[in-house]
Amino acid sequence: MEGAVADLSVKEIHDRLSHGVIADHDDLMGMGECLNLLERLEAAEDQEGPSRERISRIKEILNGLILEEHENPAREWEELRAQLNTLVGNMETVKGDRLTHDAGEPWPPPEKDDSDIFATLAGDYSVHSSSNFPETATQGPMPIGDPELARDFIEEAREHLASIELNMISLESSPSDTEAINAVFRPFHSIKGVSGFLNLTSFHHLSHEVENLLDSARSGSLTIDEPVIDVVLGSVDVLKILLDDLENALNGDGVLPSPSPLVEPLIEKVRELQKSQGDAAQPGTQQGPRLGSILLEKGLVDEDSIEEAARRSSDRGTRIGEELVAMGVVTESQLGEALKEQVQSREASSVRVDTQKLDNLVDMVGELVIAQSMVLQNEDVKRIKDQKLQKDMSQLGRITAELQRISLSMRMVPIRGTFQKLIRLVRDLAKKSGKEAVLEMSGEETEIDRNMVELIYEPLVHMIRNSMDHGIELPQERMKDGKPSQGKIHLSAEQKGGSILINIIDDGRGLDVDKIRRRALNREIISPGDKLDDRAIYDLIFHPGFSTKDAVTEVSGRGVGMDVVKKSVDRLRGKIEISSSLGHGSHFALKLPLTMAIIDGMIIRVGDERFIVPTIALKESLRPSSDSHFTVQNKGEMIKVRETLMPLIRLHEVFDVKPRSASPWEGLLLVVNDDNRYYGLLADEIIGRQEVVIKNLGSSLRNLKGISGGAILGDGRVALILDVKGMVSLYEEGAQ
Amino acid sequence: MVYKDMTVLVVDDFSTMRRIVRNILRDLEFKNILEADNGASALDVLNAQEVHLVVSDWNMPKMSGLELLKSVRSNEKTKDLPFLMVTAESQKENIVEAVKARVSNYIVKPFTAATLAEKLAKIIPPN
Repeated sequence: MEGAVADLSVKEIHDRLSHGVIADHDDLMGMGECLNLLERLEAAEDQEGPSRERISRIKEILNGLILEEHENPAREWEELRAQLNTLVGNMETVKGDRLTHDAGEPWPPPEKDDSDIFATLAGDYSVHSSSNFPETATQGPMPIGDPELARDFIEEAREHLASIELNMISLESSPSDTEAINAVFRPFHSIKGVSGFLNLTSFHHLSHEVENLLDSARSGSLTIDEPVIDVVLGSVDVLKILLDDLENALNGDGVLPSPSPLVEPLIEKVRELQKSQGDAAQPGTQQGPRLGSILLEKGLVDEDSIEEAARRSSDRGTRIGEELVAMGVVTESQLGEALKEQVQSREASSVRVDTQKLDNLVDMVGELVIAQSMVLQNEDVKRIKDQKLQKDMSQLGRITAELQRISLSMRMVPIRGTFQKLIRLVRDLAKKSGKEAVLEMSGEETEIDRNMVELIYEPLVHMIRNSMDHGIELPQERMKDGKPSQGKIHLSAEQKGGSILINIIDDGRGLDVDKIRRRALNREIISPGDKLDDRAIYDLIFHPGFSTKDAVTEVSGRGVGMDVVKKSVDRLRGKIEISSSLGHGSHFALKLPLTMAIIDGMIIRVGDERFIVPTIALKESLRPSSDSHFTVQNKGEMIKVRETLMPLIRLHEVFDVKPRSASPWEGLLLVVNDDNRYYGLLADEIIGRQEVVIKNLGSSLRNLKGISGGAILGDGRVALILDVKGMVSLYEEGAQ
Repeated sequence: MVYKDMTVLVVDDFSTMRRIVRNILRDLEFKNILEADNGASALDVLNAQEVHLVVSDWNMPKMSGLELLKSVRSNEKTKDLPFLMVTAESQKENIVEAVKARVSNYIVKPFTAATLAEKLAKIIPPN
């Protein structure tokens, strides 16, 4: 702002003021100019008392005119004129400066027009009453004005609300982080703005109140503490509900339900907070040093001037950039450039694409890869010995492989969103149970197939609940054990090969092997003679019968146990492993495929048919000896692998094909595990291991038990993918 | 110049709001309406083509409306460009800052086509 008037002498300021800088009551730019001049004057001169007072009075009037706040603008206008005249005149006499003062009116609008101007001005005031906010419309049910806009609003508002939770959490640890406050403030601000236009009163009122609250936080007059965070998160929840209501109304009769009863009490709460916390003033936080480093890099400034600007800006509560401009080290446009750079470094541009289109693309690329390998495997093509063709073919192969990689990666999204929701969960659970706990995260940037995101959320929730409920102890208990009263759950993700590894590590009490064993015995999940190592005992908590109603506390809540986790993980073709140390904590390691579109499979042969077994389901494969084969009464064929006796499932019988050999000791046994029980699948041989793209079977075959899909192999033939779980239950049904 | 021959740039981070403003501008017979979702991209648009009017929100991530205004005013090419700041009733006091930075005028959300027309009449010189 000083830019335009910075170099003026007092005399020049007087000149300008006396010539009249404001054209008429609509000339906001003139008023701004006038304000700048006055401030300049204030700063430049040791004014005498009366002048100083006059300047602040003039500024006050101008502010009022700008904001259209005065009751009687005509009178203010008149006073402004008089005051300015006197100010310029006084200074003339006081300073004795020889001003070549225009004899004409220093204040332009001619008397005649005044009445008219003020008439319109007064008219404006009746419209913009300075009440809290315009009381929009009826409270009762009302039709939604523009459904299409409303739908956009719903989608966009949800997106923005989702971002609030994380920022609130980071505010919990650093309450004066202005960036984070702004990031929370903005969604409320935008929701308020749009709902004002759309006449969505409930949204408008609630977001308005929260916005006010956060605005106080921005200005430093309110500290973000626990109650504030609670009420903001509460508002997010209510706004989400309101959005759901709105969506339902749009899909239904188009009439909004009357104002939600949830809104008013919340508004009350917000207001109370605002009132109770009104006066704890805090200095505004400064912008980080990054702008400085950008300017440094560009060679526009040296370190000394940045330090100087930083000092000044903290003295005056301005921004470093402004000070640098004021000091004349950089120009406004250079600053603008740097700010732009600062911004651009943070944002990657993106395009929104319909997920259906993306899925189609991935499918088509899958087809392309297969079509390519069909061409390559074609006997006639194979016979061509042309070097150029070979070279081109391998080039084609590289391109399609890259294309496949890229198209799959487009469907990948960071796991961050899923993790963030859990922060909130831990917070809420801790509150409810009187425990103290914090969720730490790492590797949130790890990417995962969009289609997997929702599927892994549920098991993660159960595991976190489990850790909070059974792992983390009450604060006093923790203190007694010499642990910090606040428990810690660490959630991490990393990509390894074609899998994503998710670790949940807590520093709670750990799993008690004896206790688990006792309960498993009680519930007759194991028998007293069973010899189980620690890991096998840990795995017992995944048994459907292990967690029962009376073992479930208020926190675990829904009466579901870890068996649900196991089931979801199985469905995702994943694996879960537990390790634990009594008194020190537990570690749940989850291994999931990155995508559901591709699996790592073992291609096996049964007779003339080929099948694919997901590698992750396979425990081991071996050729059994003839003396390990038994037939047990009522149980059918069993096979003994080392010490474990397991049912033998003959795949050739299941699929009704003629095997190369019917004797297990001439074939190959694939050991699989389901619900802690082992089964041996009998095949002829393993052909190889390959990543295959899963194709859904047509609708008529979709519900076929034991088969989860099909894949087209390199030679163009289809191989069915075995669903181990389905296979086992098929077997169990047959046995009963 | 009449509204339908003018190019207007709407700056707001919330796309629904941009649509609302665009609809209102259409009601006033504006034909060429450009959009930007933050101050920085607005500057890019202003650099790339001729714009006759900017309607910008105050509160945006990264580069606020005020910062955008200052940047626009410091550029010789755009220093007199009509710039209308959109603000909320509760943030109105900030407008003085924008006025000092030579904003052409401001408008308080929510507004109607009539109010906008009134404001535009004040800041766009008649032919």
